[in-house]
Amino acid sequence: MKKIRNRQPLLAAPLVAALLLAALLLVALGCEPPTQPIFYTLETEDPIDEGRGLREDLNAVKIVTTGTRYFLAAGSLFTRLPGPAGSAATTWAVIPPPQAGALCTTIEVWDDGSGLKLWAGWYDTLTGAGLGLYSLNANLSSWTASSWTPQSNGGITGSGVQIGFLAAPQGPGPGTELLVATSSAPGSHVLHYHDGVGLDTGGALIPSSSSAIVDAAWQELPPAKYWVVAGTALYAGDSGAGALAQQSITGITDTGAKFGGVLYDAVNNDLYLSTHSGTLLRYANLATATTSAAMTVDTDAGPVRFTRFVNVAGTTTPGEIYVGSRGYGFFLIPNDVTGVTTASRRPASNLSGLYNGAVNAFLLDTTQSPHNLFVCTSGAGLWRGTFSTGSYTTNDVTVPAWSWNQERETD
Amino acid sequence: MTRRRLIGALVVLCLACVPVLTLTAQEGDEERQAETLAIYSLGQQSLSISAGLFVPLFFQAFQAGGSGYTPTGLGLGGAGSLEWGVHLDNNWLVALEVGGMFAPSADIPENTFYQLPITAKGAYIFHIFPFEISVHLGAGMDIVKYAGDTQFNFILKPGFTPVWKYNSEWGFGLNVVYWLVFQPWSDNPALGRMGNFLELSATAQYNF
Repeated sequence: MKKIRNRQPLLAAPLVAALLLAALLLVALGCEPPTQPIFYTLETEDPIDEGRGLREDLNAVKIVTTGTRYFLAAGSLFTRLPGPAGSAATTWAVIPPPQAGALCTTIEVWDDGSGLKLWAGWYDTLTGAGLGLYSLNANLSSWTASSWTPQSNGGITGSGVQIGFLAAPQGPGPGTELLVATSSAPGSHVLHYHDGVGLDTGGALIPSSSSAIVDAAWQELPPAKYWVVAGTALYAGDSGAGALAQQSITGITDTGAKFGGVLYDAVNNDLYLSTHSGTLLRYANLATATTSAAMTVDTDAGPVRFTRFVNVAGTTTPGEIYVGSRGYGFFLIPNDVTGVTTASRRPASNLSGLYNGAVNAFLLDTTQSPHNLFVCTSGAGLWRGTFSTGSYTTNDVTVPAWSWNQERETD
Repeated sequence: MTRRRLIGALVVLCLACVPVLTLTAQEGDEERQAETLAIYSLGQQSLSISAGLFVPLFFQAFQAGGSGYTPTGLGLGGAGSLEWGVHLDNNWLVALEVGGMFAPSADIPENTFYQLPITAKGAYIFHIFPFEISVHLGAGMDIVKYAGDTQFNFILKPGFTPVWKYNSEWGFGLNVVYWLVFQPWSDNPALGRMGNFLELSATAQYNF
């Protein structure tokens, strides 16, 4: 018999070594430890597409609820009823703007004493000019352009008035106040309030700010006051007493860091602040102490740019604060006596759209059972987490309480 | 008469050629047989490249009385590998293999699951001319990636590969390989799983 060729030196060894090295390098790039094992993630993964009608790359700015209906500002103004997907009423539909071509900047639900209304700021896409503040009867089942009512109070309506911020930190009910931030020119911002009687009856909350108003919170415990963040400035004070006073926090307001959000936790009387420079700050028990705890979350690409908060302490056990970020989804802060010492990234990383999302705003809706947590993102659409009494069990394993869906159209 | 003699001579010549042609054909078969029957000895090497289907089977909990067998949540995927082997003798071969696979998530189609196993492999080769059937077991590290997460796990790859030897250098065959990936989780052992997958791939083998 004929033997095959003579033996060759081990020429292939360097080739294989190079392949191994290349494979390891490929994998080493972008390695990130998972929050749970990957096989388990795959096993428990649910479809995130419910056929809710929104684009998956939508820029969702803000979502509010009347308790019986959701409204979403995302360029167009959308609405749907709570409930399972699959019906026209629970699929997002567009509400016509007050004038053709107008886009919505922000929304809020508030009762000015004459019933619960949806308040919305609009601007003209053709000219770029603001159109001011409009209101709408939120309890109707359908609307037309003529359903909108422009607000006649001076300073918050009419051509050229840009509505950049709306909030009802005291709650939506009658007897509360609606905060309205306007901008008549770049670098010229004013924070007004409406008490149902009139606008700025005790003077504008912030008569002049070079930075846009970002967020506001209401502290109920005496002394009752608003906390407002705008650019690098933190303001505090009550309405009816003139302008809010600018606050100073060593290591925060003197660093030039821009604020991303503010939250007041009424249960513990704590104040939370977030910044675009990666800092989360918590003032524990404002009534008796002025101590603070702060931490900074950094990444390879620099500090995390934190945005707004949501307090889900009434939903989860033992209670948590979530804070949004630009490009890193949202983070969980334990709401306990240790202060802001840890922040862990959420949700599970297999939900890449939300995990890497830029979070604009949250809405925790406890009127529904199970509770819903909405997350508005820039470019990654609207997400909804569904909660079920603390945690839920699947395949004999307890898993995180939120089950996430993207409110998008069916692929 | 002359014509009859000519025909007769041609018939005799043809008959005389039969044994010669037969002998020549037999020699050709023997040469071909010798050419295709691979006889390996220590130090001979082989390179193999494979590509084909990756079939997710199921996940299995480590703990008795746990969730048992559960779907993987993955769709049908693809797998490929490069292998370098050294023969120890006519039957035994040791090899290093770098593989890879991908499979889409069935629930979130934009997410893709990847594995990159790097394994040491032992194989026993049965020679059934013109075929070789390799029964093999690989063991090593598996790099598991999904949606930005990465884990390093231990993997076992038992399987068999029937190969048709085209000649002494080249062979073509089919890999049937079971991927058993161990993914324990110390923080909460109940979340640990064993991944069970099946690779069905075509392979081209070069011996030198």
